[in-house]
Amino acid sequence: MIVRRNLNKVWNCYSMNDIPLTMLESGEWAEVTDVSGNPNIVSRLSELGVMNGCKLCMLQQGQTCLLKVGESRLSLGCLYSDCTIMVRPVV
Amino acid sequence: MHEITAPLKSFRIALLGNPNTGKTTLFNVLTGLNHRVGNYPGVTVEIKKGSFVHQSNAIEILDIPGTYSLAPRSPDELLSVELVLGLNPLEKVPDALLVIADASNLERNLYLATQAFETGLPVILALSMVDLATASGVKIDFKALSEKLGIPVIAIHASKRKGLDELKNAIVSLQTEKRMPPVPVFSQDVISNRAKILGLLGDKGSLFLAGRLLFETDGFLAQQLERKLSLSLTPAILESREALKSLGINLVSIEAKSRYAWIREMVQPCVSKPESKVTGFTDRVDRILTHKVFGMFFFFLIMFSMFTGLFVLAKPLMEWIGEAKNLVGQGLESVLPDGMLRSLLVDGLLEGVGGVVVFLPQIVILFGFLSVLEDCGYMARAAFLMDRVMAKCGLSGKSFIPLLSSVACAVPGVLATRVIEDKRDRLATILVAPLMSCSARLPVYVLFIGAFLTEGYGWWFPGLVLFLMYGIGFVTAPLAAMLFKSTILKGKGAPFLMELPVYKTPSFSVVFARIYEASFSFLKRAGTLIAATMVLIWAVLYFPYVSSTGENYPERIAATENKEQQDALLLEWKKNSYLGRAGRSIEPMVKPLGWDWRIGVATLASFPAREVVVGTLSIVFGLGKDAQDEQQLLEILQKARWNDDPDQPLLFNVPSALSLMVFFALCCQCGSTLMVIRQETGTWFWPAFTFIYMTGLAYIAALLTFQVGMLFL
Repeated sequence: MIVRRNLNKVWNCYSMNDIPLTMLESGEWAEVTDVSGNPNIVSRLSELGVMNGCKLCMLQQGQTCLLKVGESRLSLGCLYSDCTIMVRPVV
Repeated sequence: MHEITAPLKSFRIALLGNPNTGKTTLFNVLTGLNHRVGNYPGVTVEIKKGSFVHQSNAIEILDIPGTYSLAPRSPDELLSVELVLGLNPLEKVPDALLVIADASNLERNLYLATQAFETGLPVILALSMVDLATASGVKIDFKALSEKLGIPVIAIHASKRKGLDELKNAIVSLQTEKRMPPVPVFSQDVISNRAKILGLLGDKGSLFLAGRLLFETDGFLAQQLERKLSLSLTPAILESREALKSLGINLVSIEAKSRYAWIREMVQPCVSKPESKVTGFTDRVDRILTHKVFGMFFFFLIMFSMFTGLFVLAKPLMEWIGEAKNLVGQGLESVLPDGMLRSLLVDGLLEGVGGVVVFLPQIVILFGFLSVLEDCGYMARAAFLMDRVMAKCGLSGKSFIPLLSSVACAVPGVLATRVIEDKRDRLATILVAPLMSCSARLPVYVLFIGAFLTEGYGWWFPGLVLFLMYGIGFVTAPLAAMLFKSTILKGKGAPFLMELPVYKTPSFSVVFARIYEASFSFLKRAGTLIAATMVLIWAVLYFPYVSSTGENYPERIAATENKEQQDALLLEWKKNSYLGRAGRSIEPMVKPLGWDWRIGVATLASFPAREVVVGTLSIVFGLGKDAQDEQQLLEILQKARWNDDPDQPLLFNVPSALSLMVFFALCCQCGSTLMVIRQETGTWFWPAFTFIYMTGLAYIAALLTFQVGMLFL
């Protein structure tokens, strides 16, 4: 219940089309709309190309996910407590 | 672009690049074996220095560890930045930077290059993996890119030595003609605030450093530089940051946004590439190898094949080395008179050192497998798969690579923990890395599996047992980590963020270099540390050779014709030797594990290095056997009886062999590992802790193995 309430609070800040990265299905493409949280992780992610406006594809979904960002394949794990990545699915 | 003319002088160049761009291969190819590792107080980072001569010009290369950016977040990363900027008092400022970038992922790789452009040093851009880029449909106009960036851009293939002459020529021509790279464009507000900070830095500053102080919001760099440069920078930095924030600029992301926008502007006219899609070879293979179920299946299949291959492929080679050792032994016995010197050379050095050297084929095969897995890009996939498991233990997938490296040797495994940013995670990984079965345990496993778990079983059984022995480490290390992370090293785990490289054919030179390095180090250990230990073991087992009643054992054995009497005298001699006395005093402790005093002393003697136990067993069980009785250690162990007494039962059975293997799987009998833990943690507490907890764990596990095993026998 608490988790859902907090999640709703986060979601309300974004457009209705935006979803957390964790909800992206394998094989789905999306555009990053917001990266926020621990500044160290946010800046490390942006150095690797994960920032607002970038297109990415979820290659493997899960607690540790595998993303294709540009020509790179990035694996992210246990990020969700430190960093929130909001994306907008694109066709 | 502007030009500076400089007089001729000795030339220093720093090599920068993202991980997995072929930086090490380029460094090795350029410098050959002419390199050394630099040591810098207070940090653990390893910086290699090498040199080469081209057209009578001596060029020195500084190899900076692979990084995605020059934004330091730890003392180790700060050292790299200091070396690049010439802020380290131990090193002169480099004359130029050589940035190596992966052509198949150019935009991402140029991010680091844009930071290098701001250092005020001339830059050469070397593009690697051009063949991979071409195969994926990327076309690069190198000339146009060079003109656009205003610096030399050279396509290279280091392992095939392509483009190296052009690269060397470009380095040499930088000495007379320094083409300065352009400076990436930020917004006017950022530029003016960065200029303010640059003014405060004075002659020690650069645009890059001023930018870092502006963008690094955690204060780490500012604190370090204030201390090193004796400047008070904080108020001015905070003021500039506030000014930018008030304009709605997000300091955390503005740098990356501006750099990537600039890179796209530079690259777009010179590079054509197909739309990014997920149908390439790497993506297709990854669908299986990173899959939750199939990926794990293939991971275990690869590991099982590796250990079975290790056993099957090495066997004939080991037999050749064993035969060569026997021939040398027989040769020495035929030319040397019976006595102390012959015993020292044949029973001590040859048996002890030869007993260890015989396992060289396994080392070669193990390191060959591991370096192929690493160089083809599979290791990163294994870390990805294992992140879920490691997360349950409070660690991340990044801890898995040091653990898997420890399968070869815990020393590089402990050093590999440097990639883990979180201090607690790093320490937990260091503490459990020695639990992974390293190559030094391999001789123990191979010997005892060969002696007691091969005959009467299927061809696949020894490989399976070896796989399970390695499995002990794979299971125990994460469990121990979980225990440490929930007690003494409690804290939130660091997030896992890692790039998975594209799959590629392993480079022969990289694999060969790793095998050569490992084999050389193994033989060096055998020739020095192990040889010295063997001489010591032989001496404490040989002396005193006169009994308390004044009888000379060697003379009495030589004078006795009866074989049984000879054996009885030999046993008495061994028991009364210094080693025998020490062994008998510890026998009550090791008896519950199914061992007699000889195994106990062999275990004690293996403290400097685990593989010593094999050599010690060779000496302890083989001393005094004459040439006609020459048997392989394996057969000697199979026939060994308690206290060497023919009336006693056989010393080894399956439970006692397993007990010994389990003990060695979990104990920390390795001086080098303890030393490297001391080096990496900066205190003796953690090596002492590691030794005590591992020895305790090994004893309990060996005890349970033997006692439970005996219930089923």
